[in-house]
Amino acid sequence: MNRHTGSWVAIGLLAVAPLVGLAWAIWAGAGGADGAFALATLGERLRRPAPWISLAWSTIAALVATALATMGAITIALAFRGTRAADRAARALATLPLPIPPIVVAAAAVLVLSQSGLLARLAATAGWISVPAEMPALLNVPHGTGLILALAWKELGFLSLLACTVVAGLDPELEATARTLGASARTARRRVLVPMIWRGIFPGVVAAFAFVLGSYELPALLGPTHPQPLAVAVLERARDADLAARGDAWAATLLLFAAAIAAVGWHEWSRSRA
Amino acid sequence: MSERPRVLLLAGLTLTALLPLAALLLAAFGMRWFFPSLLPEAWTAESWRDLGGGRLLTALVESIGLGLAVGVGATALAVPIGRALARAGGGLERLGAAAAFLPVAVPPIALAAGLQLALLRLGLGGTRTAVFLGHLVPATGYLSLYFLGVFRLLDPDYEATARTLGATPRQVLQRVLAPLLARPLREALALGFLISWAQVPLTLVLGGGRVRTLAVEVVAYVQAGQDRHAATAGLLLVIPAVLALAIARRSADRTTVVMT
Repeated sequence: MNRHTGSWVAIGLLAVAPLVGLAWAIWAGAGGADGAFALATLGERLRRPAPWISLAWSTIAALVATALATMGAITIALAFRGTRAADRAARALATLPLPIPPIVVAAAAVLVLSQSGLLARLAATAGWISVPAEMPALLNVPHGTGLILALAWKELGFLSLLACTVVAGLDPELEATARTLGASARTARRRVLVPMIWRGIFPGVVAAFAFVLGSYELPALLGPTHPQPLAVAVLERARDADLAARGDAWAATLLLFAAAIAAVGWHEWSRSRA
Repeated sequence: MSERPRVLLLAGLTLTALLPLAALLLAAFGMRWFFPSLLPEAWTAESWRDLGGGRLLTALVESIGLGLAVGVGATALAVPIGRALARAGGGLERLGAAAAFLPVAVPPIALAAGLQLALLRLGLGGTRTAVFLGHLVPATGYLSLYFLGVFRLLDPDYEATARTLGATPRQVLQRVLAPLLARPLREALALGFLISWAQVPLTLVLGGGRVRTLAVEVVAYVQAGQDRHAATAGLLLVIPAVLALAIARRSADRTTVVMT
């Protein structure tokens, strides 16, 4: 077996499960699972608005969470790039969410952000509220604030690790040269350092966005019931007693596959430019 | 950046790190914790006693068994995959990297929904084998990307030199590759374990509710409003994850010893 044969076998092994999943989703979405395969059935299911609304909601939530986490990661990497104890502590605290399983983040978010959670109790202790109903609802609401904050916190671990690694590898002369040429400290950060960090972490930002877009655990426990985040809609419809609803689950699954394939393309493109 | 914003930022980071941990600990050990009290009225270890033989222990054993099997299985697949792709170079290597990123990027719920029908046809629906195969997919993707990076850095001349000096392929594996790959293999096993350890959607769909891991139990406890059990299971889930990160960091500090 020559080395190219080995590579093709490796590529086949990696792609087989996602491709089998995709093929079954197309087949079942077109009515194959009910014994009446017709692409028109799939087209009709894809024309229904519900999965598209779920996709749009999930995309917006993932974009906002990723933007918040990216801004946080760049700020932390720039503010705590030294070797003092405070710098090391800040970097460790920022990467803390990285190893925590998403389901634990979701469970902790319920305990912290619910209307009788730890945050509400702190507000009551400060005298800002007296009953749980006075605490703004953050979880299971259409604006998805609690979900977005929890997703952003989870992403911050990964993105801050990346941003700190990029900053550690930057040539200190770059900033010094910008300052020598008359740039203020703020301008040097904004015009020299931030673009270089952004370029270094961009493939990671795309990967984090793809992860958040398709994540299930946090939207299932913290997301709204209407519109339903896409991953939650897939599972709920797949378990529905109504067979027509199960067919809709396959159409929604196809949208998730399409979003993932687009993310892979975007990731590879951004990596080739980094 | 001046000192004041740095202090505020550090305080914010400390708060966001401590609040979730404090909430989990208070819920796991607290009793009669009514609003607006910051602390519970009494303390209990009732949910932890489940570890002596209840639902939590069964889920813990299931999670550990699956995690170990997935760690070993995914590492065994990812080492030759990563090596083949790194040695291919050029466009084939890029295509391989994209193929490895695919099972990582495809949302587990979509993967699970797609694989469910195929596994049902094979008579594996709702079995531990189905869950193992499902977990293996993203774990192999992650670890293939990891070993692609490892083999890119590993000079192929090491193997060629050993062969030129008369070593058999087995000796090259035992005497050259195994010592060089000892650290990456340990990290890969830990990473594969953690991917399975935290997995929920693949277990829920492919296990059909019959395979109950610790992560799946957290979902059930939160949905049932059993905060104490949810927090206990959540803390149990965090321990190996944080330990693995700490070990990986300590191990990374020693990287130069291995690679130079």
